[in-house]
Amino acid sequence: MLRSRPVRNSQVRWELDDNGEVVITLELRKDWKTKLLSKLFYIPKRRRISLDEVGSRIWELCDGDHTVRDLIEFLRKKYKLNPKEAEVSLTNYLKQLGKKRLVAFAVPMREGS
Amino acid sequence: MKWTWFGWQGLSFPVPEEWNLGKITGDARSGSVRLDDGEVVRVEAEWRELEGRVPGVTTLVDRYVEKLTKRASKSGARIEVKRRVQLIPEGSLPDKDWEVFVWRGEARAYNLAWRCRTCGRIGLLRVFAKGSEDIGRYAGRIFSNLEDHPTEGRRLWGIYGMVLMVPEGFKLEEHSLRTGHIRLAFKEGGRTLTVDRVSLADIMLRGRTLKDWFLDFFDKSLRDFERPSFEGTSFLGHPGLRVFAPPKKLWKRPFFPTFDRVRRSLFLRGCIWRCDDTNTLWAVMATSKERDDLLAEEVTKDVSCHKSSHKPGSDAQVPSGSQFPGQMGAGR
Repeated sequence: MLRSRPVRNSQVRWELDDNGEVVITLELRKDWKTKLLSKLFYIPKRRRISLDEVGSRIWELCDGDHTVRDLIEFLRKKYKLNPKEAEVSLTNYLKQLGKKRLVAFAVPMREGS
Repeated sequence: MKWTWFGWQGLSFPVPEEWNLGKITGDARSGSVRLDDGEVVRVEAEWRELEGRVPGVTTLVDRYVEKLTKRASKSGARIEVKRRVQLIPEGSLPDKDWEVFVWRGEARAYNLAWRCRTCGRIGLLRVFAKGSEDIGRYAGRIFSNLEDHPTEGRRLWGIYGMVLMVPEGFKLEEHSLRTGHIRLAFKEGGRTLTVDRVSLADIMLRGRTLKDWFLDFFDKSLRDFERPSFEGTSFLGHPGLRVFAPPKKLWKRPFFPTFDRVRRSLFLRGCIWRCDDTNTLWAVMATSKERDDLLAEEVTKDVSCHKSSHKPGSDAQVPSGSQFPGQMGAGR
């Protein structure tokens, strides 16, 4: 996990708001379940997710160049977090982003494979 | 490498700053803790308070080694054990019977088994090496500074760099180790003590004062009190606020549940401050039937908010401990 490199989903639109914080815009999925549900209920076509300051900085660093360990180090240095605190909060946050398919994780290939 | 203090349920020892609490079980009578460095387990400690006839340390180690060897042979692993390893000086831990032993299998662990003649605790403290690294010196430093009962009437509590001394009568009532917010709550008779450390102070205080943050963050805890009054002061070299809140007047309390509400006529006193060095906010609060109970101030004096390598209440840094290199072999 620590050596993996989180990468933002390139299909996801995001921008910075006036406070420099990230706002992610999610389009409504186009599968049959969503289509059916949207006929029965009102479902907005877009959903906006605003990230807080720390979440925004991490989101920006999910570029495939930085490993999870790099991000922990960033949190430690920038926000003076205890290493364990940084690790736990970051891995939880990345798991959430992963579940929502907002980021994927590039895992280094094993030597010899 | 920077060192800090780890302390839980009366057991305390110095550890490298990178080694943090990963697991806790049990209570003051018996329990265990595990610390890791983010990759592998580094320290495991188990303790138990025994009454009646307690077997000697040698017997305890004999049993442990026997179990360990049996388990290893069942799984087909080879294990090498060296007993009575000279890792810490002879006169260390004067109130304890102890033995240091090392086992080496797939991993390597330095072990200290002890029995305290003062508090009756028996315990086992294990320090694990990563790969082939030699951490005998670390283990020696940890073992020779082990404490397992209060000193001068106070116990050291230390987790994730939050280090403080709490009067020994106070028992841990609850703890919350959430990311960015650590809370330890203690109780002794009718008095309570809570210590909160909140990370990301710069973000928490953006656009608001320390007082506003306090009123907002502790909104629920302040329900049983009149609106608190604040007095500007400094704690541990940081600007802070002294808080005082009398109990809420009876007629202001909700009718139900009456019994609990009527009973709780407690005064609250607290100390809150922002530590810029660690970007944290601290709140030490005490409730008591006594209006002038200064418990919160006394505890605050010995909090190590940014000097966690110092033992609270002293200027001394984590002592270096053993002069002996971590060698397997020589007997004590």
